[in-house]
Amino acid sequence: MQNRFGFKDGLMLVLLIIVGLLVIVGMFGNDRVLDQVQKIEGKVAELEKAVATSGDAGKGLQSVQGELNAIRDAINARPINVFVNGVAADGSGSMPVMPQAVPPNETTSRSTSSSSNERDDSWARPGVPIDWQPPMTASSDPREVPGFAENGEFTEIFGAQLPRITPYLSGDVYSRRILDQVLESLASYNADTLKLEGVLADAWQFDPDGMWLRVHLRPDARFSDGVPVTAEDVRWTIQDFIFNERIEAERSRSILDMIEDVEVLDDHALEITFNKALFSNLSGALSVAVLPKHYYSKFEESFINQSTGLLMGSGWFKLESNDPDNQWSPGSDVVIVRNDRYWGPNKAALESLRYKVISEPVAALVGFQNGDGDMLSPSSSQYAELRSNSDFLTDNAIYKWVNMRSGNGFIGWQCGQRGGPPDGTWTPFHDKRVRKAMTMALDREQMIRDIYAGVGVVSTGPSSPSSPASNPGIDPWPYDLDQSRLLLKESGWEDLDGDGILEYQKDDEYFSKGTPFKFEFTITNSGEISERIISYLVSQCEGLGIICEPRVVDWSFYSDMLKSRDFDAMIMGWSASAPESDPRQIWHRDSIQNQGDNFIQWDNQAASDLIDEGRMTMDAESRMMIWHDFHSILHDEQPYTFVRVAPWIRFINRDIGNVQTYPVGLMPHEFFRVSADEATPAN
Amino acid sequence: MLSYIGRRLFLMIPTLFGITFMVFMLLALAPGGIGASLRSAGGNVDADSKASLQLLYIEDRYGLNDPAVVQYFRWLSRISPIKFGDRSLRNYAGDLEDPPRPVKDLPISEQWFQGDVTAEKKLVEKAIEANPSLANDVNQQRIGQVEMAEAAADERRDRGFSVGQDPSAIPEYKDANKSYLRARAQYLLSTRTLASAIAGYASEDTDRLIAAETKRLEGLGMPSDVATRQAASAVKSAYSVAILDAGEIDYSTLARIAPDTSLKTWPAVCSAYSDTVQKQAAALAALSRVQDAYRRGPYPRSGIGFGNVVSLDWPDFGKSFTIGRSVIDLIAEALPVTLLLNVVAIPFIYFIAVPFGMQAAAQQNKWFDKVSGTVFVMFWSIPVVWAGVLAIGFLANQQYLGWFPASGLHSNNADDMLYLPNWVDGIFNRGYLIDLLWHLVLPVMCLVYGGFAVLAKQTRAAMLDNYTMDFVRTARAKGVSDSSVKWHHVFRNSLLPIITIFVLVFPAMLAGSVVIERIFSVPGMGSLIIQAIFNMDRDVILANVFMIAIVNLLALLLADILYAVADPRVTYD
Repeated sequence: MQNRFGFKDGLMLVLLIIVGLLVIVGMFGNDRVLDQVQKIEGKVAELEKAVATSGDAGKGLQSVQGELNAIRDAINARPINVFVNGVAADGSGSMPVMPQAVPPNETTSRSTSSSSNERDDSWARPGVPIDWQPPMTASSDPREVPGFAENGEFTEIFGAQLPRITPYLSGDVYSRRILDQVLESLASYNADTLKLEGVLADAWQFDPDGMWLRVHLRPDARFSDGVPVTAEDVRWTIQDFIFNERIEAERSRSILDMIEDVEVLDDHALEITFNKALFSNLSGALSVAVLPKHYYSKFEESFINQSTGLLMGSGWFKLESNDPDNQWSPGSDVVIVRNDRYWGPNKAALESLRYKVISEPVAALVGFQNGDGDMLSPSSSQYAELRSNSDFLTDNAIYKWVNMRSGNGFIGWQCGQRGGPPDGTWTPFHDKRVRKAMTMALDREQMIRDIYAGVGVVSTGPSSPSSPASNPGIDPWPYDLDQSRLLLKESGWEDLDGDGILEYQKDDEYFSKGTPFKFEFTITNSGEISERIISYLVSQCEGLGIICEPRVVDWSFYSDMLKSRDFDAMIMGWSASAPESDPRQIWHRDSIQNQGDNFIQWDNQAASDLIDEGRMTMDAESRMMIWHDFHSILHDEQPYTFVRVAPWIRFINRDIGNVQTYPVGLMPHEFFRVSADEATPAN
Repeated sequence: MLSYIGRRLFLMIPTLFGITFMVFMLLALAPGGIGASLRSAGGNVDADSKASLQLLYIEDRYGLNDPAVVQYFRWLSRISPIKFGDRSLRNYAGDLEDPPRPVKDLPISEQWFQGDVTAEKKLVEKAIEANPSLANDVNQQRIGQVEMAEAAADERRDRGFSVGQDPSAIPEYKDANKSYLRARAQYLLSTRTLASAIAGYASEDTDRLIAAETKRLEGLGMPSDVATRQAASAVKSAYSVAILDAGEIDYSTLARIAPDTSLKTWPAVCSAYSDTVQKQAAALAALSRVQDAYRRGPYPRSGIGFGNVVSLDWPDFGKSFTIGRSVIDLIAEALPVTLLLNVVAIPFIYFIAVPFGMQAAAQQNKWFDKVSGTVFVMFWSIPVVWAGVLAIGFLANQQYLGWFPASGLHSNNADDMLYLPNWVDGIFNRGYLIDLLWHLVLPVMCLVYGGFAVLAKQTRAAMLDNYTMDFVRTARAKGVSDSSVKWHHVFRNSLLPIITIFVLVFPAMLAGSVVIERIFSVPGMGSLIIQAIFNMDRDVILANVFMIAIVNLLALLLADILYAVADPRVTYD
């Protein structure tokens, strides 16, 4: 017989390969089923535990039953043959659940705080006024909006991969958006008024000298597994999590470094002491998101450091599974589900929130239009293209508003010596008249229109216009070339030899006579927008007789350049996270030395004094007056030319109801999804 | 053959050294240096981040403030499976607890201060007294913790896991470790304060010199403005040579210049220095406490030891310092995605390009040859970026065709799907598997279309070479059928160049395709590597380079072995 590889052998081989592939695929499939069974078993175990520990039977049982029902529905919807403890439960059968007839216990659900005349203030220090907080309320009630429907999923499209969602270990904006839905802090900013309002705290006392803070917790607050939130959880979060050097929470550790000690007074009261008196102590300490000690203390620190999705809190949403061996990992969508045992009055209407990463802007928009996502943060050009597209607008709504997290774009002028003293060289911008002239030479309205596709509002200072720290009485400097020329002439820059370039007409410690007005403008390479900025700036400068030389550098180099003060002018942006921030780091003269963030080396005594005074002023109203004065000085000095505040823009599918744009941002837990039969069919 | 393979494997070691060293140094030499991205948090300065303190912690944890060569050798010793010296401990979560790192020396010796700072000699002992070891504490809470640690160790022992020499030392070790890390950070912070005090000192000196020079020039009749400017450019403090860019101080240079104790800022420098001395003593004390606890062996030792000198252990590829997660975990997440794409795509390329190339050679210069050649080259010339965006814009957009999903690997409801396709109440559900394949169509298409041309042309050229050989003519003359000539005589002899291309596929598979992964939002190796490069994330880049280099070298070796298999004339003996 001939020993050759023939057709039959080939057929055999192909068949073998197919069988092999089928086996492998089947194994994967089986694995998946097992995973799901494990998930369900975990959930059942969790519920069993909850039933065993639940003290107040009415509420506890009700929510347990709700969850069991949900599980039953889930199992019914998935006709997988699930073998739980030897009993086959398939789609046609039903899981044994608790009897339906549990009397609804309406009295427990809404009573969040007792009436004011019988408040217990034994926890407080005598003599210091107590700041009692109003009961928890919803900013808006989706249930009153026409078309309201319970359940459904809301999907937000993120533009970048999130590395992890374990609290305090990552600082990116995307994970923060998820954490905001799952964790709760002692207090947060009121959506409309931007005032701090108690969330987990029902009252606090802040030392008039700013050295201590006593907090009283709401007694009915519960984590998503039903365990009460206690003062010990708060202490543990701060001292044994954030301040635990073995946990890599440097970011939060450095932000909270003003906390000296945390002392538990009783189950619901604690005292936080500070090592320096600062106004920001109050908001800093109150905005700590409280973690459940009983959950996180089980883990080795190094396990927490390596984790991607250890996340449990007391908020509106929770992770579906808190199994540490089966965490969420990057690359898949983050899904958080409604916390059905939420302790507060405003339970979420949506059943789950999904966060999906689509990194390519075109694909993100296509995905959004295809219905893979309900909310998208578009690029400026996508916004410009679609804002008047009526087809797009029938299915989708566009929201655009300035809020406390809106970023600020500015051009910073080198007010000190370039390269830093003593070897540095002066730039023309050491003179505030020159800086003002530059501001007046830039038509910021036009820049926003032509460079940023109309997205933005001209700003006058570091705080968002919605912030109380921003001085409402300040109007932006007008675009006025004549005034600009006049100011330049006043400060010694004039073109007398007729070559079209301004020369210095004085001879002093800064420049010798005849020095041409020339500066380098540093910008990072961010494509088209940088190019447009450069060409606008260069042409405006040319018109004034100034030579502007653009220098495009990479971000990795930018910070070194800022630290060594090696630039004449640069453009940059800031993001904000709270309505009020401490201006010391950026504007105080002390931040010039030691590589502080006052990289433009703006050395202003009056402003620094105001900053020092403001930081020590605990009373919010008088502090705002100080910040307003500080804002006026900034406006007059123009160390930065503030170009724009970038509003948030969101495309949101019209199937999503009760979308409200607040000064704090959005409140996804108040959204709802219009039920399928009521929704108008998309054309 | 075996000795050849052995030799090749041995030669890989110096090659890997060379590659990783070069990449490491390139990283260190790039503007901003290693970890540049840490310093610029994504383009925005968050007003509340207190970035410098945070940076200090991170730089210290990853040793980024050491010289690049030191960092490279530290990296080498971590990835080497053979370790020398004391073995590290491995905690119950499976992560290494390295021996505590030594405290850095004082930046400048006390002698420089000429008696203005005299530190007490017994500072360290005092600090040890102030922060005593809690090993034998009678504190109730501590006793409880020790009992819990012992109980946990017993439980592990029962389950057959190894435990440390002295598990009751765990609470003490953890406490000591925390206080050491804190003391270390405070010491580092105090050296920063010292550096800024010295910078202030130097600038005062400069101001004084400029004032003197201005006076001298004014004495010569120069107008005061001009004199100031000239003086500022002419003189500067001797200390300023020791002040490097970005506020660092070159202490060895500074130590050679005698201090001027008459300056007003001198006391500030002295007090900053004595604070530094105190903080260092505290750090040393904390170090000795944590070393004691570490020596007691709270956790089991890692790896297999041979005596006390050499041990074998898993290589440790470190952590990404922008994400803080272990590099191996990151690769383990990204690699399967990239492999999946490539495992689907590469057979496509081969099963289409090789037969087409063969056919084109068989019908040289006929219409099939020309058309297939033109079409493949046309495909090859289309940039992937453009094709990808077009595919999304037309094939995925429901306003046009909308046949395929625009991004990702699974639908939103994939978790609720059955694995295989099925019908429920007469409605077709595609199931998880088909859903995945459906999502793969566009990315695989983009991966595949550009690959046809090269392979088909290579195959065609190799086949043509062989078609002109004598043995082919002989076979034909003997009356062997066309297909037999093609398959048995020509194709087999044309395999060599195809093998060469084939083995290069493996490293390319690992590296992933940046463009395609980005366009279709597939989180694979390409995205991981490009992100790491943007962030100058040392350990991620090195681990990837290392892995790709190894696979590359192994692939070349495999190619050589395959040559010998395909062509009996090739031997390596």
